[in-house]
Amino acid sequence: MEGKGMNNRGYMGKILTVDLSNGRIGERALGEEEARQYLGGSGLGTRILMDNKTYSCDPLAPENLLVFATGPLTGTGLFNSDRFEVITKSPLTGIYAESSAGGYWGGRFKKCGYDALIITGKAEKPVYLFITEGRAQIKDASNLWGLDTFTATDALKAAEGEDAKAAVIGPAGENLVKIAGIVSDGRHGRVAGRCGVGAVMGSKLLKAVVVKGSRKVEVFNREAVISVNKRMAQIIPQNTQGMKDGGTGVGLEASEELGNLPVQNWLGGDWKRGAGKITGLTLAKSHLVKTYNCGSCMIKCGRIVKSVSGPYKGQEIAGPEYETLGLLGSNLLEEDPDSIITSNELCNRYGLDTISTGGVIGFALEAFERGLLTSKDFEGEDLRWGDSLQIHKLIEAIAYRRGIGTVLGEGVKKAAESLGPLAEEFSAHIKGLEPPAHDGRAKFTAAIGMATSARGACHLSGFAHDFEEGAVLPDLGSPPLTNRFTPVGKAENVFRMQNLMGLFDSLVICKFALFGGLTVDPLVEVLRGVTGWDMDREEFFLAGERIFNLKRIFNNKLGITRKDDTLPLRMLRSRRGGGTEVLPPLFEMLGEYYQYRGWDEFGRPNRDKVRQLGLEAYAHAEG
Amino acid sequence: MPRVEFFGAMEYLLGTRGIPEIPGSTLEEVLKTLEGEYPVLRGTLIKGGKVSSLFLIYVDGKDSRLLQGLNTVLSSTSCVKIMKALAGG
Repeated sequence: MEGKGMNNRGYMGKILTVDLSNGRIGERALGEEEARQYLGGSGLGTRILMDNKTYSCDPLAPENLLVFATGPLTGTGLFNSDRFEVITKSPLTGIYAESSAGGYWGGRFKKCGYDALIITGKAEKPVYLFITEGRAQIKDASNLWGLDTFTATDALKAAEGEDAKAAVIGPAGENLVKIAGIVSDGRHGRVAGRCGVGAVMGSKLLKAVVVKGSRKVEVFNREAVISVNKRMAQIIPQNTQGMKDGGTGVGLEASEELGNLPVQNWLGGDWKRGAGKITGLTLAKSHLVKTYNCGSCMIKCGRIVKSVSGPYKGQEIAGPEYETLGLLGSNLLEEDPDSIITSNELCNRYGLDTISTGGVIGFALEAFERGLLTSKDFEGEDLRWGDSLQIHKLIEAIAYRRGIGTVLGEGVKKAAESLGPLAEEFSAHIKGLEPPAHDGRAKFTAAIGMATSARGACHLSGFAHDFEEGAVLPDLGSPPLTNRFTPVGKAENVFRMQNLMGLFDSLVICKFALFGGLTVDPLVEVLRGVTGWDMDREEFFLAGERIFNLKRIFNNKLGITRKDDTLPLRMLRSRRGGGTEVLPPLFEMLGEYYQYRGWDEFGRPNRDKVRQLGLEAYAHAEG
Repeated sequence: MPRVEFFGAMEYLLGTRGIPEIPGSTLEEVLKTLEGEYPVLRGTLIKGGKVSSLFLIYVDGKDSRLLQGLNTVLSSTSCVKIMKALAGG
């Protein structure tokens, strides 16, 4: 059954393989079994990493695999599904890495005739990969090396055609900065930002992957896609009108009021005045030119803004989304929208993750305040909260590994280690990854979800927090969350949501569709329609649980245990004020969570769980 | 009379998609009526004399904060949409 007939059922049926060390390009069939059990995206990518024992390699060595993967829904025309995932071993955290991006690259790649791309090795000189329908070429990128992501994208389009889509690294990735990401769609940047995936690409001397496919993605039953699209078109645009009007930052003031927004390196407290200045709605009034969307999207949360001051004054550029407003705004006490717009633009051009960049600059500001860094570290200048020019200089220093930027570009964990125990007290990371703009003290599902996420401090692998004090997906089978400060029900909800979010990252589909009203049943319905599988809800969720556990096993092999399932000390010990006076009882919630997971006391899937999920080939369970 | 529609989590929380007719000639009057009608909403829609930042409240398709906030005048055919303010990315 290997690959038989899969090319007309949501899959193209092939995986492209490229070894940059010897220039060998090949392909293999996508097996029916691996597709049905792992679907695609991060699920398929994790299995590929495990099958190749990628956990044992140095993340920046040629042996590390860099996997780009789409899912069975990508390119089918289904709402919000033209996405892709990047899966690898992280140079930032040293453990499992995945990063997701929207835009148009995912669909155009799949339409070249492949479900996934596996890159290994290291080129002798800078190269880019050009993929068309059924064909891949390794091309010289010497003239592109050193260019920022936008300029490089322009050059690649000039060379390969305006309709080509490029996933590109900037100077940060080239310089092996550990918080570098991969930018697709140029100025309408959609970024696979997290975990340092851009540095892995840089370590292979791979500047870009350019795709230009237009082959139709065949499905088993087209009517299923049309039917679900029609129903979703009735609800998603209405339910997400706020995100279209104000972007993903439309609820930033609510986030501040709930004590969820990072303020002053996660110290917390009220920041209402600043929040009002940088919230998505304020930017909509003062800066918004137009919105844009990813392929097949019904939401349109992307922003083009006109900068009114600073180095990009008068230019129409991509606007910051919520996480960027939080980490490069409130976290730094930066209340000038134009400064945040500039920071966002710099990060996109240099190819830096805005979350980790804001996190590590916040750490540096506090380290300076406490005397652990001095003006000597900053070219003789003092560092102050909300100092726009200093923030922009630091972003550049990180991207080009200049001065203190060399240390900061290693991420908060390593920067703190280099400054000593006191610095570690106020360093914010989980398993080495800087937190997004969500606070485990404000919503206990965020606490447990981020503590147990496979890639470290991640809000998206659980994503239950946005349903706190409102409603959890009605058809998820768990009780609604009505009190964000109680541990009751949190472990169960996170367990279920993590399994579902693993499926979203494997199918691959945008999680904002949940805000729009997407529930489980239409998702199962459309997967059945696309693939022709007789998959029911039970098998669907079992796949999600399998995917989550395989990521965990990858990390277990690297020594990750219960001791690592924790939060930054500040979230565990310091009350942040501003309406959030309690601390999450993480230890208590973790015990219950492990029971739902079927993990032993060390945080490893137990024998029964391994057997239930069919993971015997990967895990050597003790209990 | 104006009508109210609830979206997303609000619909689930209140168990209804909306109210076809609700008395009130300003947004403030309508929100106060809702707070009286639904105990779970009491003290949540209006905070500090303004529309609470925890909600997105639209009047005839426009965010009320871009109009006159609580003082926004409603017509007999106005539609007030209420949803939770979410942030993420």
